[in-house]
Amino acid sequence: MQSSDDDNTDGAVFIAKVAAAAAHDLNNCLAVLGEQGGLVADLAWMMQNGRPLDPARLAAVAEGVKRHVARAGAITAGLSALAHTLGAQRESATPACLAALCGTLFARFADRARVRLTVCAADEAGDFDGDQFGFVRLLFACLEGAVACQPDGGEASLAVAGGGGEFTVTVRIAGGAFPRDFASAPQIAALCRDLRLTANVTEAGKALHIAPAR
Amino acid sequence: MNVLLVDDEEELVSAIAERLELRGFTADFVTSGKAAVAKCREKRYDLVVLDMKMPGLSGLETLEILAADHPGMPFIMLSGHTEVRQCNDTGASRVCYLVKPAKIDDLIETMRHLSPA
Repeated sequence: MQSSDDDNTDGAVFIAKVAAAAAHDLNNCLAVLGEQGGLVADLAWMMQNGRPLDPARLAAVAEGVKRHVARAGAITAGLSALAHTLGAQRESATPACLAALCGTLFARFADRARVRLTVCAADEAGDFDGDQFGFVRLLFACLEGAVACQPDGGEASLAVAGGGGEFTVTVRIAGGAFPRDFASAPQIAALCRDLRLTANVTEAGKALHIAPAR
Repeated sequence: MNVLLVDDEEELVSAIAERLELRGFTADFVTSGKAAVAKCREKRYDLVVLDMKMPGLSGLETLEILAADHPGMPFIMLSGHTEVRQCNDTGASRVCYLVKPAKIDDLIETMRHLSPA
């Protein structure tokens, strides 16, 4: 059984992991924006020196800037949403909304593992009435498991059906298989117990279902 | 100078390549360590610029393979964890580390330091 100290440490490790990935991604966004700004300055210098300016090239740079500003905005929105799953900042959220947040936070990890992740979380009425932060951590741990048990180039999906206290989360993988005892791994088991959820591996390890315990 | 740039951020590496080309360098780019190894086997480069953190082969793993394949080839490693330029350019592998994102002038100065020709 995990102690409260263990749980706090696991929570801190999770936040550190997510923050490090977000910082790396934001740094990359800033690097791209910096280079594109530099490129515009280079193009302006060339124009001053008599070289023609290609409007299409300039438009492409502008599109790139907009894209990376939007990408950076999505990263900070994800971090902000994660912060709002905790304590006094907590806002209401449906299971689907929390799963979508988890998918956003996990995107870089999936990319690094070369696993294609799809999230299908159509929002249905009914807020998740338990520990939202713990729920996001649980789904994140399940996605880490989904990535770890399949080779590069695999596929994983995270889907949510239902809302409120009547929902099912399904993590499905295309290559590899979840170990049969995945749901009883200490971290998964402890989070499920605290959240009053059950996790079951089915379909010969291809699917993991999480639902409220009956 | 023929330079190969390696970074999984395609829009970053393509912009740096374009800016180097505007300054008279010949710059190719690839987005993975594996592609860098293949590219260096088909074309000779004077210098390779590598991002440290990449999916698949990391920058350091790619450097090890390229250094073994092409003895004497100099490298610039881009890292978010470096604060100042550091060079280990007296051994078999000449490597300089630059903070990412690197200013284009710092990158060029380091390229010229490592590959004066």
